[in-house]
Amino acid sequence: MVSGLFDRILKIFFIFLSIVIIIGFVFLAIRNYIMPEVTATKPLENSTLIKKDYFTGRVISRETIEVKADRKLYIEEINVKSSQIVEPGSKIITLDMSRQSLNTDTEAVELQNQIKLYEIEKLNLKSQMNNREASVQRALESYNKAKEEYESTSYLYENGIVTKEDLDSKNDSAEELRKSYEREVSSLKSETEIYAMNLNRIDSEINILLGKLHGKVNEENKITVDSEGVYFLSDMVYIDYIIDKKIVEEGETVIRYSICNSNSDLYIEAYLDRDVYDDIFNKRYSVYFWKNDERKKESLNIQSVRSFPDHNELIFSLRDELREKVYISDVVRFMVQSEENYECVVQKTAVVPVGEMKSGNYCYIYTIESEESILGQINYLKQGEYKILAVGDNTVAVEASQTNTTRIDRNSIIANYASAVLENEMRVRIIK
Amino acid sequence: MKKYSMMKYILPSIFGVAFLNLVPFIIAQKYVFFSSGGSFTDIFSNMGFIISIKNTAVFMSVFIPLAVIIGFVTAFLTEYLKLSFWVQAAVILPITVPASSVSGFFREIAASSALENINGLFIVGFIFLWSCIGYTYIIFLISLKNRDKSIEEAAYLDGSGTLRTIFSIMLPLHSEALVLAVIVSTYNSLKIFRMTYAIFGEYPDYRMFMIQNFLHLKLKELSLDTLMAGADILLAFIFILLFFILRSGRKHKIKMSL
Amino acid sequence: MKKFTVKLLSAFIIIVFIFPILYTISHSFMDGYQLKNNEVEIVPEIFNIQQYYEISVEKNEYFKLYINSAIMTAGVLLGQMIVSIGAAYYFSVKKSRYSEVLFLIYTFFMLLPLQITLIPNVLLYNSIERYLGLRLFNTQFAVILPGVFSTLGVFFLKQFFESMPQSYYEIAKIDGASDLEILLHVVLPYSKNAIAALCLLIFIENWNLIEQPIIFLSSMSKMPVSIYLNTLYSSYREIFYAGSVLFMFPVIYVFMKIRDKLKVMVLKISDEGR
Repeated sequence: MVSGLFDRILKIFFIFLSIVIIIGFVFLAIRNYIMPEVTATKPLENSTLIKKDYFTGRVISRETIEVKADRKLYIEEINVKSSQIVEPGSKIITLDMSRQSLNTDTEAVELQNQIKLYEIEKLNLKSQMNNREASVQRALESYNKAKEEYESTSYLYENGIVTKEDLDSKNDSAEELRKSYEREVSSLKSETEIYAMNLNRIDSEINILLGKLHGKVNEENKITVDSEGVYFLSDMVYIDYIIDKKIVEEGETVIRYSICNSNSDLYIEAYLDRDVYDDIFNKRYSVYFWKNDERKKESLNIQSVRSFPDHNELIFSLRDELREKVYISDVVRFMVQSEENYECVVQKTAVVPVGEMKSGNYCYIYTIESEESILGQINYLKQGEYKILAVGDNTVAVEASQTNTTRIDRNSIIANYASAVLENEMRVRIIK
Repeated sequence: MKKYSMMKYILPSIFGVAFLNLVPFIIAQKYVFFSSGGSFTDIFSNMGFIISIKNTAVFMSVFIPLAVIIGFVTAFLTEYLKLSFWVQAAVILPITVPASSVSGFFREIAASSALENINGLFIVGFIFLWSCIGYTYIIFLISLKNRDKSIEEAAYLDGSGTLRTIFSIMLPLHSEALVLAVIVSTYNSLKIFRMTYAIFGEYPDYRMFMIQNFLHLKLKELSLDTLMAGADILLAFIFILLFFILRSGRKHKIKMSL
Repeated sequence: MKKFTVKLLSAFIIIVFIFPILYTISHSFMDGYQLKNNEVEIVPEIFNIQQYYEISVEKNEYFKLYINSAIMTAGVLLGQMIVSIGAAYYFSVKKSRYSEVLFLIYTFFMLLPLQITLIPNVLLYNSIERYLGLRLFNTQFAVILPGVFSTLGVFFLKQFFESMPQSYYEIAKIDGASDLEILLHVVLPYSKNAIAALCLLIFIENWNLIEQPIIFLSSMSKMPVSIYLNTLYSSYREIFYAGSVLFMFPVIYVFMKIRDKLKVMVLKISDEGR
């Protein structure tokens, strides 16, 4: 029993060891034979580089206007898209009127209440007016009645039935009534005038409130709104930004646009790194630009510079004939070209850039070192970080970016067709 | 030509042995006998050589008999007490184990503070015993299994005690095995260099510096005069040893392996 | 009582002899943290096979050297078989004064320490390189060559061939067999076990080569594992023990497989001797 168990343990242990050995051999074969292949080159002898830097810019207009909502808005339809150029008078936004007025918005309710108050006031005034007219009418009737009574009394006097005093008193009361009637009439006249004025006033107040309820009227920004809740602009504009949701809170930007009635409003804006900016501005290299596919290059003049911590914006002015060719928001490309000597120039295919292949960015270059080890002679890669100084057509000028990066000199062997798959200390096989 | 037809079997071996060992050795003697200074005097004045000879002599005279004795005792116990198969396997196993594998264990033992006071030579001796008793054990085991029990029983019946039986009867009977064991142990004692190298490196402590270490260092330097002188001395020594062993073997009767 | 002391004695002997091996095996299952501890510890705290994983997957240069060891051992084994069998056959059959003297010389060479035989080897290689232009140093052939002609095999096999009963030989001769046929069909089958034992001995001997590689090889990529383990102890102790166990493994395995055949051979020798 014991020996049987021991034998089994021993057997398991031996199988385990055999498995380890087999795994070891397998991984050895893998390490030895499965290696990436690279071609080896050396840095270039000729160290002049025609340095070309490319960057992009946009056509912009002189002025950009931003409009914010002054209250909560309910939008039914957004009629434009951003980056669109709209003709004057086009619809921008249509408001949802049903929700806009029947809302539970307190301000709207208040406005409506105010309107109601005004309506009530109007009614009050009207009833006052009616009262006044009624009293005038009553005065007239009273006077007419007194007058009839005087006439019937004067008939009686002439027949010797009533005394002269009775006739005179009847005459006096008729006279009084006539005066009060005339007074009533005149006060009615003035009251009617006042009434008309009040009515005007109230009506205009109501109109204003209605206007507030239905939309904003903003004179400076040239946005007009009509009674159906449609906004439109009276200029030709380029929509930089338009809100994309249906409910806008107070204070949110609704729309941002640039006016581009004519090409004289247009400029070209470009973002440049410091080095390139120095080259253009200080060394006065020529700048060429072209639009997308057009091959022809035009030269530009610098109009103004805006400096930011990490980049500069150059505003180039467009010559008149150029202005005809561009539209606002066009993307254009620039190139700055120069020829310079660099200490270390390698083939472009040996450089793996971090980000874009342009000067100022960092890149990796893999040098090949060989070493004698237990597995024989092995070649392995050494990764170095370099800063791209200049980019040519097929070549790149670099310099070591950190103090511990190996310098590339005439005798270094560099891995060509380097790709992102290569890593530091990776074993490689060299093919010619 | 029948006499020479057998020659072809030994030809490659002779060729190899001669060319690889004999001829160069003889040629190399010129370094010893025709060198500028008398290299024999040189070598005897070399302190390292003296120490290594002393160490080797002590080592061999102490531990070879020990290996033989312990091997015999263990074989005896195994045979008489019918010790299990596991014991046999355990004793024999160390001879198969490579020196490098167990060097870890011995290194740690040697480095641990418990053994600082013990002479380095004894540590090496212990390691030698551990790795080589297997050989003597096997030899004696075979011999013991072979023996003719009748003589022993006769001795017992005659009334001699166990110890006397062993010494006066058994040992002479096994003298052939004894000789073989001594030869094998001598052979292995010269192989102790492997263990020493694996455990202590090329420059061991002076107390365990033996002649192979000396020769090895000289070989690396390729200083051939002292090297050949030392080799010659060692050679002579072994020659004498072999001579004595064989003669005593012949003296103790029974046909020799030769 | 006697049984108990016997068992105790057996246990004692077993432990003393197996202890270093057990120590190595148990250390191979320790992880790096425990190994840095310089005290002598026996049982691993946590049983893990991290060492084996590291050695097989990450640091598998070891296996390249394993192949080196295997190549050298196999080369010597093959060569010795061819050379020693022939020579032993000669010595066992031919009984003349010359052969006795020759055999004495052979025994003498067998006992020489390696350093002494290495010297003529080195000198020989030097002159070969100089006069024939063949590069021998730093090749594995340089290590295999002396091993092939080691006289231990001849010594060992001659003893065994001689123990074969003369009758076999004479019967075969009467049947008209030539020397070669006798060798192949009579002597070899008879001494299968002895040859197996010799193979084991040669295997053990050459698996464990240390002196020759140091002298003949200079680049690490050609070294056998026996040398590499020494450097491994100081540089990468984490995998040293796993490497040791893997290195011991073939020898012990072969030994265990052959042990039955060895037993038979031992009995046969004892039978013949009787």
